[in-house]
Amino acid sequence: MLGGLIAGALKGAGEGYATYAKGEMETQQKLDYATKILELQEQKDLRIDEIRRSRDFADKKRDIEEIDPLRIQSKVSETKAVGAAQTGVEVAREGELGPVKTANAVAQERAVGPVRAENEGLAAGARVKAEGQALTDLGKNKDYISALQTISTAKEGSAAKTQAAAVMFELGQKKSIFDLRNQLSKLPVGDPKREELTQQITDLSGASIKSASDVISAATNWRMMAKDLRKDAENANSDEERNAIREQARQYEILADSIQRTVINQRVPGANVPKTGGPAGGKPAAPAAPWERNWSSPGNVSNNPAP
Amino acid sequence: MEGLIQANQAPESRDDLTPEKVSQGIQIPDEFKEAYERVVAAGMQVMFSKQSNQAAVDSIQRGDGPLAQRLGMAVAGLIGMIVKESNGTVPPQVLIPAGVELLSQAADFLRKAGIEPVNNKVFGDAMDVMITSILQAAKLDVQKIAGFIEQKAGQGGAAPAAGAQPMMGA
Repeated sequence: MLGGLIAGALKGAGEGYATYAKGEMETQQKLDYATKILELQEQKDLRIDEIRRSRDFADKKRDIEEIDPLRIQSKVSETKAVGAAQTGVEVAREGELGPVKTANAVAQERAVGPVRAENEGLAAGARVKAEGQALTDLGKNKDYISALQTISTAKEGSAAKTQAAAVMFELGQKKSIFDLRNQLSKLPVGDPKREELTQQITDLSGASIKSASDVISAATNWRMMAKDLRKDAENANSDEERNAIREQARQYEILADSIQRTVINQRVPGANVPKTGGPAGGKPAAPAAPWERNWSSPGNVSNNPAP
Repeated sequence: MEGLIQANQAPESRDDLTPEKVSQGIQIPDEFKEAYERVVAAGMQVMFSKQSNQAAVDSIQRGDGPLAQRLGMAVAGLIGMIVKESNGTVPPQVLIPAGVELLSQAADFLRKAGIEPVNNKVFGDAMDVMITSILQAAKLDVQKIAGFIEQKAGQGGAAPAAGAQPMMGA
């Protein structure tokens, strides 16, 4: 019946319609290919964007790993230990080898071996004594004890581990500065070594400030990566893939929160940090975010007591 | 084939040969436009869809020889695959221009995504490899084609007529 209606409607004008329809089909087909190519250009741009973001992602991850607090702490400790040993040996050798040098070159050569051994022993003894003193002082420090307790009670899990790592890092920094300040206090005014030790303390304090800022920047990076992942989730092919990506993003956000809170608690114990946006539940606004403070100001250099 | 492609001249070390510039140099007779767009769309679909993009990048990166060789061979392979899948319905006249268009898209993609540094020289060399490969796959002699084009040009005629038997897939 429908066929009859169409045939009736087209009667007399059938040829014209057919020609028009054919032309329209051809035009539509051409349009379809052109549209398809344009759509594929968008696909191409999407792929480029994905690859770039994935590369940025890898770079950021590497950067974050590079500023891993534990690794920095061990690096600082290593540098400090080598520096202290060298300083101790040099001081001792200056005193003992000076007269030998002036007396006789051959005797100097013979003397060097035993004197070096003796000096190294002396330096090591002095270092152990200084470290013992520093540890005794640290043992009286409430922040140090509190930080140790935080580490000992940290449970398994990425957030707790991150917090523990950040605490370890802060402790390493504190101990290094304690050691150097102890050494400095034992040197008489005018001793040329004082300048060197002061410089080392300044450097370490600087490293501490820089690292705190780096840790905050790491948190920001984790958050940005989480945001990118959420964007990727929107373009996922399946629900399964989408959920997996979202879960990964959630993990990154947890890490970011954890890092940020740890740094803030280290700097401003008890400070409450809003996760995102403004205060919730009608509570008053939180104080200015600690990461907005001027970390380079000497007044903000953590809780290190004066030597 | 003469007149279909107008190669752009650009300094070799530069990398300013964009798909837009290449497209401007490709002139397709009206009767081949649809087939040309069909091949380009199919090729781009393979290269840039989420499902096959990685495989397309791999085909370029895992090939033998320098970048130009790998790029040219990959696009020639893609054209061959499209011809095969179309059961020989693709007119041979559009294979080279569509290949050049796809090559420029691939080069642009590699460059923008930072996967490979494709400059104008690499693009030119890759185009050379691709054209030679397509002609060899079609069992056509480049010299014979050049002679044929010259002969047609001398007679004031055009390139092979539409409806000619497909060169590839035989």
